[in-house]
Amino acid sequence: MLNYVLKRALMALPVMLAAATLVFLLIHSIPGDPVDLILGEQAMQVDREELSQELGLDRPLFSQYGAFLAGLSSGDWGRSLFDNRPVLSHIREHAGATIVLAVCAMFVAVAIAIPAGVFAAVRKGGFLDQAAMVASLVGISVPNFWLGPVLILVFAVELGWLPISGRESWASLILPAFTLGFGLSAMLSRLTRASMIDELGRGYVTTARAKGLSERAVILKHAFRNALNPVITIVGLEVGSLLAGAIITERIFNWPGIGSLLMDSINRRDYPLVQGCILVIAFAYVVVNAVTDCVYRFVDPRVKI
Amino acid sequence: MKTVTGKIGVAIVAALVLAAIFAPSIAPCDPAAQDFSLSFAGPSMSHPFGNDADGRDILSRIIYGTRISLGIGISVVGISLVAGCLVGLVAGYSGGWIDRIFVFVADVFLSFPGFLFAVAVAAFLRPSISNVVIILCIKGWVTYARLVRGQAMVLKEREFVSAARAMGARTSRVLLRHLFPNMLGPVIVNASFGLAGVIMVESALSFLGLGVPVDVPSWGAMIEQGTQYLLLAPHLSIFPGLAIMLVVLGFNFLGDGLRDELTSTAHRGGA
Repeated sequence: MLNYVLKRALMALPVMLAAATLVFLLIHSIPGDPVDLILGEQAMQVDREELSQELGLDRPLFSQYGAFLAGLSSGDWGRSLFDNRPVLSHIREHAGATIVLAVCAMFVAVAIAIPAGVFAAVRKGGFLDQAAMVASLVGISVPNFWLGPVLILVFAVELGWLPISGRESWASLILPAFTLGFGLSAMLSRLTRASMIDELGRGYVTTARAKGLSERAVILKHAFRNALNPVITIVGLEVGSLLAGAIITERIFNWPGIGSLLMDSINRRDYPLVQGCILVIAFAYVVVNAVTDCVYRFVDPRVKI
Repeated sequence: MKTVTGKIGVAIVAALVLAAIFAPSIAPCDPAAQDFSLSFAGPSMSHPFGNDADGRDILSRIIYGTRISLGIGISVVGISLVAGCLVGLVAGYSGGWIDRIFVFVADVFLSFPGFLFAVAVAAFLRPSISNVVIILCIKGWVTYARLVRGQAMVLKEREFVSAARAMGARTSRVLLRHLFPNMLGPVIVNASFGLAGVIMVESALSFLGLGVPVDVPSWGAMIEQGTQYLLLAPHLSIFPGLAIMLVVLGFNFLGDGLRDELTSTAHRGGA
C-alpha cells in the first residue's frame, strides 16, 4: 500500500510540471508585450523598463523558465502587481473559503445523488425511475450561472430566508453550495443508478436473496457497497472540476475564495496573481486525483496502476 | 429516432438551426436597436421577453444569440473533430513511440479541468469570437483523438484491414476509407454531447466577461448584464438562461437518442 502511494505521488509530479510549463508558455505567448498590457501603451519608458526587469522579461526565455520553476518549488510565487504582497499569502487568505464551499457542494451532490440513484435502480423502468432520469438530464443542462441568480431571487429576495451574497454566517453558504453541487448531483445520480443496476444483476445478489436475506439487506449491504466503487472515483475526479466551477459560483455570490481572487486579478491584469490562482487550482486537482486513486485502491485491492 | 427524448432532441435542434438561419426574418426587432423609454420594461405583447437596460428587445437578442452559440459550437466541434480524428487515427494505427507521445500529451491536457483551462487561456487573450473558438479547440481535439485512437487500436487487427492492406491499399486509404467509416457512430454521439458542452462553456466564459465582446448578443453575456439588475428586472437574466438550458438539453437528448440508435444498428449490421 505504501509502495502504491509513493508510486502514485511520483506519477503526479510530471503532470504538475507539465501544468506549470503550460501556464508559463501561456503567459509568454500573449500577443503583444505583457508590459504594454499591464501599464497601457502610453507608459513612460522608465516605468516600462523597471517593470520588465521586475518580471524578469529582459532575460532569455529559458532562464526565465528556470527561475519560474525554482520559485515555484521554493515557495516564492512572485508578488502581486496590485499591492506588492506575495502571491502565496493572497492565496492562503482565500483558499479556506473555496475549500469549505467545494466540500459542502460535494456533500449536497452526494446527499441528493446516491439516494436518488439507488432508488431509481431498484425501481428500474418504473415511472419514478424515468422521471428521475429525465430530471437529471435537465439538471445537467442547467447552467450554474443561471441557477445561482434564480436561487437568489427565490430564497433571498422573495422569501427572505437566506442572505443574498457574501460570507457572514453559515446561512450564506447554503445557496452557493447548492448552486455548485446541483449539476454534479444530476451526473452522479445517473452514474449511481447505472452502477447499481449492474451490481443487482450479479450472481452474489441472487445468492443473497436465495438464502433468505431481506430485500433491504440485499440492496444496502451487498449491492450498494460494490456499486459505490466507480462512484468514489468520479466523486474524486469531480472535486477538481468543482474547484474550477467555483470560479463562477464565487463570482455570483461574492464568495471570497480563490475564484473571486482569480477574477479580480484578471480584471486588474495582475498576471503573477492570475498565474498563482490557476496553478493552485490545477495542483489541487492533480493532488485530489492522486489521493482518490489511493483511496480507490484501498477500497478495492484488485486495482493496479 | 426511436426514443421519445431522442425525438424531442431532434425537434429542439432543428428549431434552433432554423432560428439561427432565419434570425433576421423571425426576430421582431433589430437586436441592437436601443430605446431608452423602454429600459427594463417587463414582458409585454409587443416585446414578449421584455427589454434590457438599453431598451433592446430581449427576444430578438436571444434569437440572434442562437447564431453565436451554434456558430461557436459547430466551429469548435468541427475543428476539434477533424483534428482529433486525424491524430487519433495515426496514433492508434501506428502505435509505438508516436502513440506513446500522444498518450502523454493527452494525459497532460486531461489533467486540467476543462473549464479552468479555458479560463486560463482566456485570461491572457482579448475577448473575441475567434479567440473563444481557438481556446475551446486547444483542448477539444483530445476527446475525439482518444476515442478514435482506442477504436483504431481494436479495428486495425480485424480481417478487413488486413485484406485492404493485402490488396495494396496505401496507409492513408486504409485509415480514411476502411477504419474511419467504422467508428463514425461513437464519434457522432460524442460530437452531439460535445456541442452541448461547448455551448455551456462559451456561455460561462461570456458570463465571466472572458468570452465574446460585450456588444455581441451572447446568452452568457446577457445573463451577466442581467445579474447587475437582478432585483430591479429579473427577466433580463431569466430568459437567456432558459435559452441556454433548451439548447444544452436539446443536444444532450439528441446524443442520448443517437447513442441508442447507432449502437443498435452497429449490432444489427455488423462492422
